[in-house]
Amino acid sequence: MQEPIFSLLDVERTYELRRPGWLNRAPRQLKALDGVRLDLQRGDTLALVGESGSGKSTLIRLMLGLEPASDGRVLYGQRDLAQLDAEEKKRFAREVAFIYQNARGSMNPRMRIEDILAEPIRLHRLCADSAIPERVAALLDRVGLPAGLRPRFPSELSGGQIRRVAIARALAAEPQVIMADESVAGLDVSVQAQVLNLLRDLCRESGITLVFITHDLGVASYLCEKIAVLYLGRIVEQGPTEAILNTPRHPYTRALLQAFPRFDMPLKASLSGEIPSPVDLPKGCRFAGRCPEAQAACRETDPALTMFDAERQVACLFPVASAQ
Amino acid sequence: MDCAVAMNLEAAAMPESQEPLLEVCNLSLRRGQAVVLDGVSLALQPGETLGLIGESGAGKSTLALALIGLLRAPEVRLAGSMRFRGTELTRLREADYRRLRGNKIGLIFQDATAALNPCFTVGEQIAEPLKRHLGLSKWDRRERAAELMHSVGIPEPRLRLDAYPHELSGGMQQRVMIAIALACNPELLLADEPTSALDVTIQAQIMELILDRVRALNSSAIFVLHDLALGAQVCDRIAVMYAGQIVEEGPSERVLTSPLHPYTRGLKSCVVELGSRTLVPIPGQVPPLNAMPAGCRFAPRCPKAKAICGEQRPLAETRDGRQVACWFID
Repeated sequence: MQEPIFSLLDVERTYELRRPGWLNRAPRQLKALDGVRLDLQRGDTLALVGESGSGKSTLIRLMLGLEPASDGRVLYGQRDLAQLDAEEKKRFAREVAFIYQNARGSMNPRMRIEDILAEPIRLHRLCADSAIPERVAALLDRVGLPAGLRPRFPSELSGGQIRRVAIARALAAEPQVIMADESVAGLDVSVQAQVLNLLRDLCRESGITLVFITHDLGVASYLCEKIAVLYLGRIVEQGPTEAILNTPRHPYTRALLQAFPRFDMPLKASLSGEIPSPVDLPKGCRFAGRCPEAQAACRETDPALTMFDAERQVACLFPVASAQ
Repeated sequence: MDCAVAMNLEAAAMPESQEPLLEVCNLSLRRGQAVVLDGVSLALQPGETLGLIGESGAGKSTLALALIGLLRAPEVRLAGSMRFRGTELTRLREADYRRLRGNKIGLIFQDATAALNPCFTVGEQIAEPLKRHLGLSKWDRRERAAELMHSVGIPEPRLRLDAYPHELSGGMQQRVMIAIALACNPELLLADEPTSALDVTIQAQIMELILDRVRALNSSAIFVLHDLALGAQVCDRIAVMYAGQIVEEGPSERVLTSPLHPYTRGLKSCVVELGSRTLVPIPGQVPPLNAMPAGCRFAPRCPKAKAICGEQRPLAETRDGRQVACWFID
């Protein structure tokens, strides 16, 4: 077994909320992530799935080293992200690329597409300046964009094109890992299909490790071989995509699958209520308040993520027994 | 004229059909030189739910805005007819439209945060149509607003009456919008992407709620959607729009399980379902409004297109219980 490229060891992230008023009261704690354990192997494609407020984006920010963990450690190839020296940080920045949720907003509106794509190449001194135009052209070609877009500005491109440029920019430094935050959300289905196919082909061809945040289980299942389902800052179920789709073991995963719109099934509101506030979490399982199968024990004991079978981990006292 | 033929055929198929609640006939909408809606015809029976489906730029929202009179001359030019309970809407005066909007026709917008006024409490906003259209007293309005909030599943409605929109979650704000839209028991509800900003579990709740309320009031509803599978779940009928035209229209299970128009087929092959193995994107892009092809607007992207497709626009034909606008239906 190889060493994992990323390891998260009981990672926790809390934010302090200052109460209004001049009285010096103790700040309340917002736990965005709580005890997250995750191993990512080289070449893995992992989808982080969950509703808004589940901690998906916080998790990716920690994995990118944009924020420190409040507790626990984030390891990249055996090195703690918090302890990287300047040289290692630079190498990390080259090897791990990020595609922002808002592709257009992540680009300088006054830079031309060719300069946007050339910037990481120049920054990491990947080739001689004279060879840059050629590399930019190759990048555009790789994401299926015409070379004619080079002198354009981001505002002149369509939603699908701008996401392709964002993917091209992520590829510019020849990364080993790509992390993407909701990269196909808000696109029309036909454009979404194009971008998904592009991402899937890129991962298959070049063996890039992909971490993909999405709220859409369909997108997750199309793109990734593994799925981790998050709820209120915890991974509640994790395993191979097919197993999760066919036999969800956590009631929350099952509810997400049931709520997913399908041609062959009637509409079903599988869950009542909304995701509770991550401030002042209840004792016991944090899903218990919305869980259709919660029992008295669920409100007392907080279940840990444990091995369910050879490849699946579930954090539930009473995992769902059989297929839906 | 093709619309009249279509109506006759439909009447023949359903001998007991009533007077449609809404009848749109050959509606065109121009903005400057651009033809944004081109010859749109559809009919909605009382109690029916219709889904307008298509990609951005298809004219779904434009059609919804035109129906409620928010897109009118001189901003745009309308031709053709829209009849709501026998009233011609294209020539309706603004004052008469105001009596209709929020009263007989309810509206739900996509972005509840933007649609609600941040300066007024949600109770005041729900009470507004009650005052304007029903003339209820202040006390009655408050009572009715609390009842409405309860009916859309907002817990502790009396406490939330005095909440401002920003104090509620996205799902709760959407529920407030539904309460406003349904305040005067409308006969027609227009919902423009009511759940696309929400999580799937909340989406299912909200959609179930809207359908539940619409059925309880025996109203009709038009949903603007981009999610085909959701359309199949919530709509009796589906109208697939492309570049300002309806290309296929009929009962939702027929249109979505065995689509006839190449565009509907293309759309369906792009939909990500659970466990999808392959997605086949439709090549190319929607043409810009100022450069629409002369014949079938889908022809440049269509795998089946032949010479005639580029020259003449196909008229809607009845085929297998639905209307399809294509020269080459199998």
